[in-house]
Amino acid sequence: MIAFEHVHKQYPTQRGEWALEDLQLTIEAGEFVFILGHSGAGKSTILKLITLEEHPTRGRVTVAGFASDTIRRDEIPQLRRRCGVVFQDFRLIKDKTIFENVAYCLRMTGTLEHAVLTRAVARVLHSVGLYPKRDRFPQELSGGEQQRAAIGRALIHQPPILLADEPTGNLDAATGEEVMDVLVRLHHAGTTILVATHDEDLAQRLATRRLVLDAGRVVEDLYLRPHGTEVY
Amino acid sequence: MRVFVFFVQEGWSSLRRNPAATLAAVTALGAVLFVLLLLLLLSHNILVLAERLEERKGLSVFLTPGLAAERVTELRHHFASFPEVRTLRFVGRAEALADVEHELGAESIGEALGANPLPDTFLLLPALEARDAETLERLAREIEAYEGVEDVLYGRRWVTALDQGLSVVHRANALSGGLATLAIILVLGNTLRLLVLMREEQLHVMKMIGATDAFLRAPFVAAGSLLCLLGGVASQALLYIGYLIVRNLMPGIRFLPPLWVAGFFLGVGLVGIVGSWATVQASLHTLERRGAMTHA
Repeated sequence: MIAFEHVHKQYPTQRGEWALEDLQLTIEAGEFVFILGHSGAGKSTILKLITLEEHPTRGRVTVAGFASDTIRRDEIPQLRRRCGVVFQDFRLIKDKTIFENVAYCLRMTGTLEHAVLTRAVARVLHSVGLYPKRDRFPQELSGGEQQRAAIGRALIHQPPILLADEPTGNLDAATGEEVMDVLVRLHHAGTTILVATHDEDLAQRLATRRLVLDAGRVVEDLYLRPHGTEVY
Repeated sequence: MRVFVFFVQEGWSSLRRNPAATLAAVTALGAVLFVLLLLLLLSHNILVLAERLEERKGLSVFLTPGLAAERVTELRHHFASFPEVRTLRFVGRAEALADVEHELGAESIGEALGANPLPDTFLLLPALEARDAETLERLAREIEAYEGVEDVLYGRRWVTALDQGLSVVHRANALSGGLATLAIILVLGNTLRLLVLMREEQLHVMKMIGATDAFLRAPFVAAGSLLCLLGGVASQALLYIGYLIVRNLMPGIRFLPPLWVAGFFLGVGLVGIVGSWATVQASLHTLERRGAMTHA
């Protein structure tokens, strides 16, 4: 599903330093992978390479059949619709309701018929437990609810892959749990999930696989549970 | 159609979210377009005046006194067959004298002079495309060479002056149109850059969740076109109010014809679409480049 082949990444501002160095990694469908490491270890860079927000300096990244060295610019949006993205700071559109935030993603693929939109958005908002609050604006919701709305937005295209960059980083423990519950349910439903986080306890409890990065290199790649195991 | 309406709504709502920037842009665009419209109004009135003068761009072909009627008929056939000639009228010397007497209000000029001094004449009105000074000059020389033609007269100086004047008007129109286009693109560019910057984070998120470049651009292009149209409506309204006031002082003045007004809005709309598209494209590329630099 996701493959990194000898991937090196260097940012223009980091001459002489590698953000990622010779990364060899394959992630199969249905895995629940936690990527751990200090700030600057390369966790977010892996997620950015998967969505091709960044391109590898060397090597190749293949995601859902799209390869970083052959993909056309106009194919990148198609790739991104197969990878839902959740950010640490939610990044919802402040002047749109939760319903509109999610619906907007469908509109950009040309789905404008009200009945179709309503059905699809309702399905997603039910799945993250926010349907009753669909007409609220983001600032009227708690942090956990905003993050669940962001997950709902990421799921609207029914992506087989979900990427979450520190999804509980801005939340307290209790609301963080609510968000992780949603991710666990998605994992059970078959979605491949990659979570970049500092939280080792979460990884220990939920991950099927744990990757630890240090200075752009994988220093640990551990399967915590056999592939296909359902975490609680 | 639904997609079009969606983008227009998005564009409109982004303008409503930034009322100060919108008002500033509409005012600036309105001012630029008002100056352009003022020049167009001036040009239109000059052209209307010139059109009336065009009708006077005729040639008077004076025939040799005592020319045989057969030769006059031959000349009539020759001149009428010229492709440059729209109408040809023969004015006999008696008719010419009567005309002069009528114009001067003195009915006994012929008697006072003893004999009619005026020759038989052809009044020749060239076709519209043959009324420039160069063609009239060539035509006059050609006709002058015919046997039986004593002289050919036309207002050489004023025809040349009129042609030169009209050419200045056309060049001024093209120049003011070009300058207005530049000014519109500058104003649009600054406003849209501001709107793009204000939505930078949202644009980044939209890109990450699979928005195409066209989807990101379209609401801004709609916003830019709406700004241009609002500026256009404001300037037209201002011009019309001004026209109503000035009309009493200058009764001959005419407002822009509907075709010009339609052309103005079409032009403004096109400049709005193309200018917005180019500006947003550049702004999004800048954002992308900046993103690559800062996401280390």
